[in-house]
Amino acid sequence: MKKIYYIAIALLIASCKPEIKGELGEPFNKMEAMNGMWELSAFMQRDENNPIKEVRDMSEFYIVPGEVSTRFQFNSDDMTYTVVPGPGRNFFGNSGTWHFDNSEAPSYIILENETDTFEVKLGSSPRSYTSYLTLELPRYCVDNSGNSTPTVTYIFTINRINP
Amino acid sequence: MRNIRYIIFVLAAFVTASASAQKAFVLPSPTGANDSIALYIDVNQSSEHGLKQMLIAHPEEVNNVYIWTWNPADPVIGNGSWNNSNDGLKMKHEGNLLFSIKFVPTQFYGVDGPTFFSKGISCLAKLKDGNAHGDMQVGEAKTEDIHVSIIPKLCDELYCMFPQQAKADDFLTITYDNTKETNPNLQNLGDGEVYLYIRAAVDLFNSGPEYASQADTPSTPALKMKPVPGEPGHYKLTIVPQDFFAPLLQPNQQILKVRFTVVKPGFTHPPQSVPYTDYIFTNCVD
Repeated sequence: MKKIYYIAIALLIASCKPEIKGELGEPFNKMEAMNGMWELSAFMQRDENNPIKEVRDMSEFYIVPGEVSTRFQFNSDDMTYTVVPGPGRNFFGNSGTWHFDNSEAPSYIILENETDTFEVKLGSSPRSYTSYLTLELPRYCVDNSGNSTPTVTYIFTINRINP
Repeated sequence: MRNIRYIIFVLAAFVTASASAQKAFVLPSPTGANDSIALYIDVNQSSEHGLKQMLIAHPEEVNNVYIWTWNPADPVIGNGSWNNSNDGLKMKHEGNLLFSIKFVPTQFYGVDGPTFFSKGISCLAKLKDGNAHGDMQVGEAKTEDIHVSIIPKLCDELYCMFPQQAKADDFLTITYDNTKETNPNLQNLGDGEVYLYIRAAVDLFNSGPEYASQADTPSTPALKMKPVPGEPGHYKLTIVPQDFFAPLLQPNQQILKVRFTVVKPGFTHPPQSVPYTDYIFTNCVD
């Protein structure tokens, strides 16, 4: 009897909820959201073998007052990318092609140039209104037996400067 | 002077009281993941279940106490079964219901250091047969679940390297702790006096270029170590070795390790006995 009473109250409360109106709209196109020019704004290094996986801010090697920082141009029409190097080591090559591991819910962006392929972890899914992104570039040691051991991860923060 | 003694006494008493009030703790702390450590469980502090009362009623059982642990992982040798603990997990009675067991965490649990430090240790103490003395009607022969957080031991040497493993084309930071310097000629250095003499080794015979000779090192700005903010006496230098030595390397020559030591203006080490510290780059095929 008590159960019926509770169900009746729940139905009553549910019937009071306002009806949802309008459309959910088109899902964000993540590839288009990546389109444009991005500029490096921070650089961190994480030691994957440190007892506490220490992260150090190494931005001083990439963000130098008076110099233009490294820029990334992503083009979603032909799926190419270009790097305009600034101060600091360029880990990504000068240009190549890119794609997501999953175009609707990407976790990784894959950058491919003539010699290397980089699987870079996205800190969040890009949206058209996203003003910054973090890109995590893991580095591994692969031994003679093919065993892969993580060494460090480089964490790049890039800001959108041109949609 | 009397005030300082009093403060030290109060601090020591506080630290001792804090440690003794814990149900479980590890020594040493801070702890190295690959060091031999002792885990202590103080059954006197236990307030649940029946183990404490059983040990008081049956003092002969103090030689029959075992650890049961499940975090950061089950022990590699296994806990055994509840009514028959694994013999390898027997704890030593240190007196007054304080029990200990020694092990190397990474070997004992079969986990890596970061996993050990992030998860800590979850455990309890029990009799070999966790169902023993049921007639006492005080609960199972165990303590409550206990969690021990671990304070990791970080590098505390004359030279510390970050990261611990790297390739020659990674960023490498070398930190020097002048407060640990044993060479009287290099003790108590000032901020403008710390320079790193560094050379690359490209073969097994340690041959390879030096960035600058020892004599020239103190006049080479790229080799000047910067003070570490907030850490008096600590100095650091960050390089990407493959780029740093690139002008001095033959085409396609790979750096196997870097060798370094600190010098200061007006002081160099005898060439035949340079006290090098080596950083070996991870031997990777890719």
